[in-house]
Amino acid sequence: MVVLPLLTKWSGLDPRCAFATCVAAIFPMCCVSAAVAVWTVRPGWALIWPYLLGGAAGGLIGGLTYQKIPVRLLKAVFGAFLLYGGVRYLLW
Amino acid sequence: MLPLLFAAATGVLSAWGVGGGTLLLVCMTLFLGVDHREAQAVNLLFFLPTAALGLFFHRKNGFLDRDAFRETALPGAAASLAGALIAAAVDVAVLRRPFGLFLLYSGASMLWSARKKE
Repeated sequence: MVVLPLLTKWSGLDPRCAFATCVAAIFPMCCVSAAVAVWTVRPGWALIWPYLLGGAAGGLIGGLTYQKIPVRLLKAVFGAFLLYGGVRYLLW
Repeated sequence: MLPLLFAAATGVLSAWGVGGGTLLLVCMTLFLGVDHREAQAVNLLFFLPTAALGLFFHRKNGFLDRDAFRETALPGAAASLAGALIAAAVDVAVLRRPFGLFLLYSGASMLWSARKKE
């Protein structure tokens, strides 16, 4: 939610590169956060594995189709997602 | 079967960098009845293989900007650590409204720029 607007607005990065680089920028943050979350919450393996498997399949499909997806569609989906997040933060 | 399908669908969005993880969190807590803390932990783990596979192709197709990555990854990791410390020390509710406004502004400007043709 924060990194992508920074990359597109202030770094002036090409939108398609910005979306992809955003995934890379978030990755190390998620590694640290995931380690802390697993250490404190300790979710069961039975709960975790369908999401890891499904996520890997989604990542594969997303990576393969990324260059065919129009930037306008990426912007529209992400813009709607940000608006949803904004409303959620203001109301709840 | 539903967790697998939800994860695959939101995994595609995550690989595109358009917030699939947050959508999965909503699906897990609202539709699959997973406890919020467990859902958050699983959500973070879900992102690792999803992003790794997506990034493999992004790198191969030349969509990763190394300079921008270097400039954002380290400060981002430091900021997330600082954020965790601040969240533990202050009432997070105080930060919700300005952050919500920032998201609304960013979302509106993103949708506005989506009107222009590539």
